[in-house]
Amino acid sequence: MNYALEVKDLCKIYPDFFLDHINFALPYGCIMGLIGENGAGKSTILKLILNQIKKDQGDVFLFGQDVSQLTPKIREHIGIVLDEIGIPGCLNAKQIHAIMRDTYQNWDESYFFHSLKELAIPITKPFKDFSRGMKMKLGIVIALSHHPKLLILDEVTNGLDPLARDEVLDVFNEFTRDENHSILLSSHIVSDLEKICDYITFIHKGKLLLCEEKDWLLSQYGVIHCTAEEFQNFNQAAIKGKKESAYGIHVLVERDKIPSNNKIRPINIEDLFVWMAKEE
Amino acid sequence: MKALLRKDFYMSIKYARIWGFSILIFLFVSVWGDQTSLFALYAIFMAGMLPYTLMAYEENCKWHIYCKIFPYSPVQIVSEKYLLTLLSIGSVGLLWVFLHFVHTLGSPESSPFTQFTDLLPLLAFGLIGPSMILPVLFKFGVTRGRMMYYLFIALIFAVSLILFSHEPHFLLNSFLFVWGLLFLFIFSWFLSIHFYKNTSYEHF
Repeated sequence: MNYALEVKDLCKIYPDFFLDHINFALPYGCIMGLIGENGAGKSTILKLILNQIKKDQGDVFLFGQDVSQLTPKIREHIGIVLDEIGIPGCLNAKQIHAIMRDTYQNWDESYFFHSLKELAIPITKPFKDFSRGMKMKLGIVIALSHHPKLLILDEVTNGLDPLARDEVLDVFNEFTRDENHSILLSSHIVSDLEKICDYITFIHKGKLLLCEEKDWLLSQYGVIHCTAEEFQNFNQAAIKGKKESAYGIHVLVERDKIPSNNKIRPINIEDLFVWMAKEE
Repeated sequence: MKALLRKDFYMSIKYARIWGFSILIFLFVSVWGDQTSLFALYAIFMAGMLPYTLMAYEENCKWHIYCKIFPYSPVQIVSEKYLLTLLSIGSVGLLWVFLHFVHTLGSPESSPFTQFTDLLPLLAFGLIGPSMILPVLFKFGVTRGRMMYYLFIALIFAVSLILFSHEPHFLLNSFLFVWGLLFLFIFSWFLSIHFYKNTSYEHF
């Protein structure tokens, strides 16, 4: 299988943080959500993918090419939005267009201005006067206007109001209608990722908790509310976590290891992450 | 490269107005005043400061990290600043020649080429600051390299004051001086590329 992005055994050691042997792969045509709490290591992984910091171990491949050998030609196929858009504050969208036209061979002027209009981004206002939401939207438009094959997005929906988030998610959905397009999206707003992602990767304290298809995760895991006695009778291999309260025990289980006569409630991705992270 | 130059051009228009105005004043004083060499040197020295003035703004808005996502090679990113240095110093040098021509207009020896003999050493002097400071900034960034930057400026001003208060043209007209500084500039260019390629943005 061909992957837009492959991360193999990636490690990074800081004095107070260890990114611990991360492995995942993003197939073409898919959206992968990188989920983790603040400080989990999401941004470190993205920086390593973009070769902005040096890895201590492992490999990263973009379109099959090692990122340490990444050429400007390959970069033409990648669109990136970081949580901070580093555009000089004095520039306006028109000037940014002129700069990007000289930057990318495939820069699409009509797409850029059409998107600005669609997302209500002012053309002549200096970037420093933009709201956080506008800055993010402009960053996304810049990342898309050279028609990349892979989008790498770091916390792009943070700080956006619900309407802006919805607009942005629509843009991403539209982007992946082309089966050659992929997105790696990091966020701790899990509800956004749950809406659009095909694959989910959980990162917690620098460790990979899981990397699976979203639909498989939702079908595989569920929650049972039971008493302490009922809990003792469960197949212990099926239990992935538990929460005790005065009203009984909530147990996170693997559905196929639990008899079908038990009432298993579905779980959403956010709750699943919280369960798994707390169990670690 | 063209994109980076364009960006710096837009930034210069916005952020370097006072800088440009100061250069103009120094040029006027150097042409119409008494201490002609000294003020021309100040003007050319300031012209060489443009790249690192812009780098300070870039670091402030995190462009130095953001630009790494675009298809610019490290060689292009560094070379653009050196090219900008040459353009900035060259423009101010030519402006100085033009002002001299205007100043002597009407006199029999008036010619736009009169000052060209002095232009080359003047331009070479303008390369000292960028040659010394740019590698430091590409290695440590503007914030961490700031102290080194101020030390260099103080040093260069002190040396120029000592040299030019006594024998202004002795060193400047030296063939070795011009070629030595040109060599220093080229060496600095390669050193900056080497530093930039090996810079990790873990602490930025």
